[in-house]
Amino acid sequence: MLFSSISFIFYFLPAVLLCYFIVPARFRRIRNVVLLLFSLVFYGFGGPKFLFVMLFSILINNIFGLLVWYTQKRKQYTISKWVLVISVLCNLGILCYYKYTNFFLENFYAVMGQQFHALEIVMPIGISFFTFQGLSYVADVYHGTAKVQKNPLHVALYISMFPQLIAGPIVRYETVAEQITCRTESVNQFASGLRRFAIGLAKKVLIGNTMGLIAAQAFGHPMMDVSSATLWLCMAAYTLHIYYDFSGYSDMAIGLGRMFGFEFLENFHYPYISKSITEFWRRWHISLSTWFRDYVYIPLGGNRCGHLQWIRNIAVVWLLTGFWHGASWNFICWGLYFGILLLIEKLWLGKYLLRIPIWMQHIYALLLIMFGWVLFNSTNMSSAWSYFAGLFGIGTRCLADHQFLYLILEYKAELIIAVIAALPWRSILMQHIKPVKFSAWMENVWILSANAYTCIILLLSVVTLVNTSFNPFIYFRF
Amino acid sequence: MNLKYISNLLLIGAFASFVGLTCYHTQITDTEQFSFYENRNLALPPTYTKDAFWTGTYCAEWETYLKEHIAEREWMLEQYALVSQNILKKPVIGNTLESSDGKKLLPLLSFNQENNQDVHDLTQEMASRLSTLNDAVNRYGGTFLYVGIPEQNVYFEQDYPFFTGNPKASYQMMQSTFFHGLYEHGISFLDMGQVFDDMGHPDWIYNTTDHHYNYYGAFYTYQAIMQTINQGREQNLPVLTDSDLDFQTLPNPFMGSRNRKRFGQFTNEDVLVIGVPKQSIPFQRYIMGNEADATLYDIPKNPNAWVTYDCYNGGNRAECIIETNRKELPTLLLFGDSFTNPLETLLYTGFDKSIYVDLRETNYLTQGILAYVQQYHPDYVICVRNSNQYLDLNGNGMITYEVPSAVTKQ
Repeated sequence: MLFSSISFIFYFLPAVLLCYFIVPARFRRIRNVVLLLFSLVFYGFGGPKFLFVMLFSILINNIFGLLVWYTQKRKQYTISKWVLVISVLCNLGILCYYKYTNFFLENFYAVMGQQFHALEIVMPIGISFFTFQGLSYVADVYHGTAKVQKNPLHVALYISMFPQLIAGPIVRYETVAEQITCRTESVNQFASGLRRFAIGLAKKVLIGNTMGLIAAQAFGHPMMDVSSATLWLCMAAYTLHIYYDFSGYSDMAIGLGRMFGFEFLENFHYPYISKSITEFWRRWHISLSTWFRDYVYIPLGGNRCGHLQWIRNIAVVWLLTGFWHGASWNFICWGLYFGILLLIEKLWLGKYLLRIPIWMQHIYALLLIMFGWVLFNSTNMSSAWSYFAGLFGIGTRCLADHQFLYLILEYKAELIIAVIAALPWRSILMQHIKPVKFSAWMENVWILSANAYTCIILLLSVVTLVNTSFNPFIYFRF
Repeated sequence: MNLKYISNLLLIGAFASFVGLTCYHTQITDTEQFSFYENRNLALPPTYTKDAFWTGTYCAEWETYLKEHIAEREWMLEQYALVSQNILKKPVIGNTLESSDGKKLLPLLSFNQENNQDVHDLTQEMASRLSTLNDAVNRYGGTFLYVGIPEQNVYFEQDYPFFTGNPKASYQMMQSTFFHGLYEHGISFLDMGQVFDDMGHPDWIYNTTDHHYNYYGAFYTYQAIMQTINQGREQNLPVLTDSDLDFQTLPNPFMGSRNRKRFGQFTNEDVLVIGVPKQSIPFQRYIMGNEADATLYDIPKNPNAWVTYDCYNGGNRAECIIETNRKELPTLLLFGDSFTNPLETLLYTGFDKSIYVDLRETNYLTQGILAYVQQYHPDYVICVRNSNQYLDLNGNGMITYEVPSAVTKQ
């Protein structure tokens, strides 16, 4: 089930809210059970048979967490370490089976020069997310950053909680461990969550989907059918599409969490205003990059080691980042592409970048990010190369054509809004306007306006949702 | 309680009311099974099967159902089109765009260029199929005529706005290749585009918001067909002139097919005109072999109800036969797409028996067009296709199509 769907907005969400808030706040455990049951229904909506995979993941992580805690309590650190290793192998084993089996076999057969018929393995939705959350739980218990959870229902709730279940943000156990058992819900917090949900929905439905429509005019089409200008436009549109699609979904997840009293960490922070690739990855899919930093990069030695080892660490992290996104060579190349760019920036380019005008830094970062999305969105490497060549007029119909003109005219409003909304206007204004202390009256006007705005964008989003059949969600497949 | 708290309470209340009322309203008003604007049946509730449930298809189908049956869906569709048209100023809505003069709705055409080889190959195949029919008709002494009618967007091709480019060159290449193909195969054809051009290419014979011509366009097509037929006869068949018909404009608002895609939000002056012969010719009408009302127009009783192009002879039918019981007149077999509908209300006046067939309605057809020819040995066989269908091997291009025996038995 997608958050941006009629069944979620008009049926699932009211049902879960009603059942949750009908239980008095003092019965926290019952509220948690309600949330857990609805989360399982939410996941089961996409195919009940996949529910067992997630339940199995919950079960083993619960057991591994307890084993880690028990062995550490008895100071059996070696055994504890082995439990962690086995837990990692089990979690990755499940992930590899469902996500990567066909990829590995296909490449193995290709090397052997034999024909490969793909196995019928259907990947459970959100497996990459809940596997990483399960790993996070066991690792946090191992590192002592979070207490072991002896109530299996709480572990189940942490892993399966519907707001972040299928597309993140990847909530780390230490972030919500306390909140699971003691959190408070309030009218102001609920309203704040609702506002955030509406913003996320609007980002996804009103902007993200439209940008996706533009991008679909070029990606996957023969280059001879499009012009270079259209390719540039579609590349920019895809850049905006993936941002609004994913950050909108994260906003909805954060908003929904807040309605139930949870505070999840931010997943995006205006990534397209970055002045370098290093900065971009501090602002994009923050929960994934920090996960890899804390659970892979730092355990490998981070940057507190020799030069070659540090390069190896970065390469491993970015290879895994690419591979996490999908079992395909273009995702691996996409990950390595950013790994190499980061290394170049850290080793050499970084200091020169600081010397050029800021607007040039922005263009530099944005261009490389956009090229990265071409790799990301191509079905294979050859179509990615064709796209890159087409951007520079090789293999395309012409440099500019009527289709380009049509796309600009048709989607002018959405394109302008998409570009403007990707900028941190509030921070920019605050930098230039003298700090003013809001009077209570002004604050009330502000909140009233925000609430009215929420109602309007919610209505607009629903109307648009009913009207359009184009409602993909990119990160759903991860 | 401060104002912030009250305001937040109001927001939650508004959200709860919106969601609750929509759900309730959906439950009590969910009676619509057909979408007028989209001209299609709405999704049915999904059928439960163990497999569908287990794999998630069953639940996914509920989403489609709920989306199509949500309360006030039609209002939402209209508002969306209205906002897109008047606020966002989108030139293309529902794949239709305003003409450069702002008076017509035209379809957005593909930006992909026609492949000359494809056009040539399709022409050869289509002409070869038509040739098979032509031979079958000629064998017993009948006459076959192919009538090509420009679709509204082709007729108004000069009115395409600057950003789409002009499809004229591409269309002319296709048309000349196709007609040349017909000529090479010895098939008689009537190019209504040329006839209309000879009339001075008047705007008023086509709808501005529908992809068909209007009744006047059909009337001139009828006259051109009869003229062509009479050229090969010693004794002329009766042909209606405009003084023989009483042209009536219906009071109902007209909904063109292109405006439908904009959910009726495009302001226009299209009306629906019908022609009633001043001297009536009695007839019996049979739909799929069953006697039906002897009426040629399906007019809503409520004068304020929308009327569409389907008014002409009740819209598309797999088979309709009109008998005037004038044995001295020949028999006609007319097949083609919806451009035949208003023609059907005119052509019967010149024939004893008129058989109208639409090969697109394969679910209802009991035999293919060659079988019709064999069964009735009609004196005249006419194929009417619009310019966008000339090379379409499906639908009325399925000349050699034979209905599977299982269907024939039914």
